[in-house]
Amino acid sequence: MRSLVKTEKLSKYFPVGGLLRPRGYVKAVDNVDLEIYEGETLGLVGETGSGKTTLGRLILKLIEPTSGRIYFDGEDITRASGSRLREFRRRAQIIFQDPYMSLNPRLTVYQTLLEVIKVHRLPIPDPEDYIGKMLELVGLERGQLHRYPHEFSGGQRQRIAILRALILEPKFLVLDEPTSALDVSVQAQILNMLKDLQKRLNLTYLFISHDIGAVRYMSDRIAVMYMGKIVELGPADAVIKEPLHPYTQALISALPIPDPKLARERKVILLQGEPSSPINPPPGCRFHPRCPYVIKGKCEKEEPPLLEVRRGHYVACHLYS
Amino acid sequence: MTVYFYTYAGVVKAVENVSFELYKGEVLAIVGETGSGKSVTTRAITKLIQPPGKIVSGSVIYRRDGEEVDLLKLPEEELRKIRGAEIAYVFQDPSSALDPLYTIGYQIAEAVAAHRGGKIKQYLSEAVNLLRNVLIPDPESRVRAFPHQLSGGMKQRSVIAMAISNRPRILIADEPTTAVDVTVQAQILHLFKQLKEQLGMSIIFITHNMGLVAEFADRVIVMYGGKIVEEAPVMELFQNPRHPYTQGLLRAVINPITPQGRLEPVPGTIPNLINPPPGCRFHPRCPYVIKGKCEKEEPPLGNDNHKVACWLYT
Repeated sequence: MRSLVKTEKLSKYFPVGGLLRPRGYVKAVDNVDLEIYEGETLGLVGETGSGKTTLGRLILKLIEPTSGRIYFDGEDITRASGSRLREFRRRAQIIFQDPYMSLNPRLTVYQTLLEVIKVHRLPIPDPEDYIGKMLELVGLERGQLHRYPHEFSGGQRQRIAILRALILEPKFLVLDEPTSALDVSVQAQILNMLKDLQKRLNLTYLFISHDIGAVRYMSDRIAVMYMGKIVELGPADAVIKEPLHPYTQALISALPIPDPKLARERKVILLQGEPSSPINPPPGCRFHPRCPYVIKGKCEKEEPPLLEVRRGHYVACHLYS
Repeated sequence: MTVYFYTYAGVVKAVENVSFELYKGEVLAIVGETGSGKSVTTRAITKLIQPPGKIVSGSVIYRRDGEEVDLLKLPEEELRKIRGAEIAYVFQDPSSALDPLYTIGYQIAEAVAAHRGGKIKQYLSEAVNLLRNVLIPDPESRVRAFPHQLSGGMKQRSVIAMAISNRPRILIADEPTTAVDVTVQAQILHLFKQLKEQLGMSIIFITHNMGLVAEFADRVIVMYGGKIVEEAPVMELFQNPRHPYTQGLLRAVINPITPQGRLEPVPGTIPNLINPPPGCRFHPRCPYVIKGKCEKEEPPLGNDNHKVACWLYT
């Protein structure tokens, strides 16, 4: 498999307190090595503050990394600028969580999409006809071309946002919680559409969500983040069915499942406390203050590396090394 | 119970002719999507409806000490004694339920003092106990913390501490875990279960998450477009959902543990409640619609252990 996106020791530290002399750094993303294969969906899960959104934005060069490198399609784009950056922007797009905020309320669908065509100087002779056709791609009608965002429901707005990304014929999409603001019945519509579009247009997705159900439904592989680190990475089924990292195990056991019988029979691993402060993360393994299997004298000192313990299934935990 | 909102665009028929019962010691889940009327229904129980909303008609019969009162007919003074003390609420966003300018301890003590009388200060030690009850670590020092110094999960626990401070008989939890992470959600649900056992409360649990319903509820009410469409014990509802909307909802939910085939979304969108569809409000989206019937007459909810408002079953 060919990797489309690759990061090497990618980090992003945000200074906190004091502009010139910061009190400390939030290590939002810390030394992440990640590969996304062409044509796959890589799911990225983690709780609030785990760094999943920051990682997504780093990969798209929406923010500058503190250190590390990013490769796209074999090319080092860490320092890309000018026409190379513009070309990258065309090929890598993002869908945000809230379709109410990501669309300009004063532009019609047509104006919004036309702007994209103009900015990127796409050679399209009849944009109105072209955009009308494209609307059908995301399940909207040509007749809705000259409407404003407020005339659409949340699900329809998300369709427009998806189309705005697709109009540039990108290869890679970062989907940052694309259905979290939508109702269950609409969420299913959007997820199915994203799956169909991926097949039809040969897209590669980074699907970021805290909703593990949605991630599993969409993904080929899943990466689990905890406090800026990837703690587990593997085939979607393996990560859900046989999670290796104690954090993943607790996370999976705590998922609400829509089956009252099963829900009452299984055992939930209740974690102690909440994630530690990201400003000065605990030394060693960042999960050790909450871990039920902590190895004294090891976990609080040494940081576990991300190692392949089964085929294609990686975990960063001293229990496996 | 019927609640309308009188807006510039027209009258929003948010809740129409909704009747249900809550039994002692049970967890009753109310599920539904945005605009189904689940929050409005439960807020109306203690008249927590603000203009332009108005409770148009209905009654809320509350049984205590062998007597029955209609909460909607009580004078505001009397109702205030019940609201917060005997019937307490926990809402989705803990940040908006807490005053950023006062410590957690002060706010909990204030809630206690409001119903038992006396000075706020004398209840500060009780606030420590309450924080301990909701499993906040190191409650002696947390009692002096301001809301911004606590995480989302801690804040929600403080709000729960406030809600149970007067040992309520009914706790109404409106999407209490939507703003917190999965591992914290599991902790809070566990806490609710414990408190329910300890205090013998009844809980109304409002959610859009079928997974949480399966985990936590004894009985379930499904709402759609301001109406109850189905009501059943939890096992029965998941094994034998009868209303086409409930069936659709369950097919659209992802089970993260057991893999499934393609999701089947419910086509269409939720109805506009200013001009709700005539007859059954679900008929424009229903795959089994009976021509000449469903779009004309409204189906009754029935009166069994498993109630369903659908013409397919009459």
